Order: sequence, then C-alpha cells, then structure tokens
Amino acid sequence: MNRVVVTGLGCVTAIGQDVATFRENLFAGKNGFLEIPDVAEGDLRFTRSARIEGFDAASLLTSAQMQLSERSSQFALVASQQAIAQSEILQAVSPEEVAVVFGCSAGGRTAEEPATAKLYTSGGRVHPLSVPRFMASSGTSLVSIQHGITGPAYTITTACASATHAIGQAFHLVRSGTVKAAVTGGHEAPLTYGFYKAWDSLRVVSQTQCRPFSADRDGMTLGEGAAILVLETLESALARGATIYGEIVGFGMSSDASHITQAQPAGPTAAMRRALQDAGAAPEEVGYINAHGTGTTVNDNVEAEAIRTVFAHNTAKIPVSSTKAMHGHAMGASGAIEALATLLALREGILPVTAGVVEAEAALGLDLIVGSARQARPKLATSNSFAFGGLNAVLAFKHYEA
Amino acid sequence: MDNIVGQNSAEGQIPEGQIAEQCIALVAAAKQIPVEQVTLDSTFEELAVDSLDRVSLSFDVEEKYGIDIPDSRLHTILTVRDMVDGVAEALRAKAEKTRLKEAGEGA
Repeated sequence: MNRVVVTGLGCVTAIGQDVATFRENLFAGKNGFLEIPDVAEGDLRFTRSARIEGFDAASLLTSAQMQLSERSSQFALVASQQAIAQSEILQAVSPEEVAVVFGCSAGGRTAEEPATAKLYTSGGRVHPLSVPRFMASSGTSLVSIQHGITGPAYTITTACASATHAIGQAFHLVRSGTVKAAVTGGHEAPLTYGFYKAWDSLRVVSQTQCRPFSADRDGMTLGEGAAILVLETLESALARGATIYGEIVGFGMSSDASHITQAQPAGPTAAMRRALQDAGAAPEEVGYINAHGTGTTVNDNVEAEAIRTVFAHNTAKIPVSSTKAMHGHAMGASGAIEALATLLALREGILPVTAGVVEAEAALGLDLIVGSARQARPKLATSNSFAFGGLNAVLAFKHYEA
Repeated sequence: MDNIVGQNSAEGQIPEGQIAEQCIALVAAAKQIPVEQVTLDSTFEELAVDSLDRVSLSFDVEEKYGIDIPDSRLHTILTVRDMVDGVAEALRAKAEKTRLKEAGEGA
C-alpha cells in the first residue's frame, strides 16, 4: 500500500481566504464571527455567524464559471485553484489518474432558496441553470471541468462529517493505488435565512459565541467555507521534489445507529479506534486531538466521554482543541477546515487554541488548550467529525519528516 | 418602417428591429462575446450555443417580454433570426390572447 502525503493546501474560511491568512488567525486565536445582516432584531435567537465577508468570486473565476455556480461551488473552485496551483500536481500526474472527492451537505442553498421563495410567493419561472447550480455535487463537477481531471469524481454527503468522509475516501483511493493523486476536502455555503431559521428551531446555536468544552458553553456558531487538500503518494511527491505538508495515516468510520440528532459515545469511540487501527498506531502515540467540538452541551459531553474511553489513563496528557471556536461550524466543509488546521499544527509544532474558552469544564477530563496556542511537537494527531444522524469519521495525520 | 408586433404593457408595441437588437445582445451576453460577432444570420452552431444555452436564452426572452416559447417552437430555433421570429410570434400570440380576453369581457 502507498503512503499518502499532502502536497497542496487551499481554503476560503471566515478567518482567512487563503492558507497564509488562515494560519495566522488560527494560531493567533482570532475568531471570524460577524453580525448577521438583514435579519430583523429578535427574529433569530442568535446574532452572529462565521460568515465570509468580502469573498470576491468574480475576480477569481471566469464569467462562465460565475454563471454556472453558486457560492458553495465558488468556494470549492477558489480553494481548489489554490491547492492545485501550490501542489503543481497536474504538471506531474496525468489527469485521468487524479480523483476529486468533496464533501458537501447543504448543496446550493444560496441559489435554491431565493428562487424557491420567489416561486412560492410571486410565482413565475425558475431559471434553467437552477438545477446545475443547486446540485450538491456541482462543486466537484466544476473543479473537474476547470482542471480537466477525468479520474473518479464524486461528492459525499454525511452532514457535518461530509468533508472528513471525503478526505478519508480520497486517502483510501490513493493508498490503494486506484489513483495517483486526489483533490479532496469540503465546501459549504449554507447561510441563508431559511437555514438560520431551521437551526434556530433546533435551539443548538449559541446566543453568544461557540465555546467548545467550556462549562458555560451554549451552542455552536454556524459557518461556511471550504478547504481543499491535494493528496498523492509519498513516492510521487519525493520523486518530483514536492513540498510535503504532512501525511495521512489512518481513517476510521462508524455509525451510532441510534438517533437522528443525539450523539452516542459508542459510535465516536469506534471511529477513533478504527482510525488508530488503520494507522497502525497505539493511543499513546496521539499528541493532539482536533475535536469535533461543536460547543453544544450534548456533543461535547459525548465526545469527551468517547475520548476518555479510547485514551483511558492517558486522556489528561493529550492536548485537545476545537478550532470551530474560530472558523465556526462550516457544516459539510468543517472536517476539511479542521484537517487543514491539524496539518498546520503538526507541521509547525503549534497547537491551536480553543478561542473564547476561559476554562474547560473540569468534569470532561480533557487537557483543553485555552488561553493561547501551545508549542508542542506531536508526531500523530487525529481530527474528529461526528455528524447529526450518528455518522462518524476520524482522520489520523502524521508529521512528515524527510 | 419597422414591422410592429405584439404588445408591451409599459411601452406599447415593440418594433421588430428592437427585438433583433435585444436578442443579439442576449446571445452575446450568454456566450460572452462582443455583440459585433453576432448577426441575425449567425447560427447557434457557429456561436457554440449548446442545449443549455438555448434553454437559458429562452428563459431570458420569456422573462424579458412576458411571453411563452412553446417546446415545439424552441426545437426549431437554430439561428438568431429564428430566435427573433420566435419572440415576435410569441408576442403576437400574447397580444391575440389579450384581445380575445378583452373581447370576451366586453361581451
């Protein structure tokens, strides 16, 4: 089996629309939460989201791409341009030996919702490009078209674990030799009025800001964005002298088979164990956990319990943070943004802070990184994604040393 | 003098020359090419107007003129001139429908 390394990174997030800016804000512990515009006071129980301001798609994409895409796919296109350009993968690998595997949960809501609202209120016609713009797989298609990539290409949708499942699948495709390289990650632009209202009804959105694992946490902060990685075999990366940002060594999945919203510890526990097993690593080797850490009471309780089960007496020695405290919960893109954060942490020896948290809830038993980012040189790190409906995915990353 | 067709609720009747000009502008915008490259005799094939462009253009003219281009007619529109004729026909059909409705109401 091939060893799989990451040789290209790209992102469009609330804390940076390129990897350099994302990195700076990530390690500085700066959040990207902004007031939600155009909503009447009191209409929502919350006032802020991790929305991306000043994303100028028109300056980065062709007018033909603009016409065919909506915001979610535009995030995918722009982040992919960054990652593919950085990796120079298509100068080295034939496009039929490259895969595109993205995660996307909400689809093209920013196009669909206004069109449907108009239809249901004032009637009339629906634009013929609506279907291509709405498709959740549109981002995958448009990226494949732009770069002429003709290998396996598909979109995975598993709610908040979509991108982690996608990266895991891409990892398996490259490891097994099905393809030589993969462009993978997640993209999401769900922040429409209808989406805000739907989440408001679930009463899991913070009225202040997402403070994962804090005793006074009061929910998540909704977000949007994309992060894209280029994966290839270690052999190919070394042969062409590519910069290696880290190695993916394991992937574990499970289903709670229990409840459509309420997480259960057994599922996340199994997914973490399978990721380590897949990596051939012992729990003691893990030196950082990028938690799913949504900031809801239930998720953080269940996740902490699962971590305690997997890491047992070692739990208190493993630094944990949730970077959602900075980039928000970007739904189907979250796992990719967190994979990016985990790769940067391993590469630079800086573990991101759980911004906004003063003190972790002691009963959870975790070594939560609070206050500021921590200097440490872990060899192995994991990134958790536990979706609504009990669909769990965990990736294991290793610091790459030549 | 321009042949006058149809009805536009705001501005009265639309000269066919104006429809031609507007159709050329729509096609040029859809294909992102200068208007000078589009003439009445341009075929959709030479302009690389594909099936998705055709349905998008029919949406554009339907919205612009408040008309309906029937499926059967859409399939026969292969040039910019066909497009202009299709719009003119649809405008006449719309005007006729309005006239009949008004006559019916008057009776």
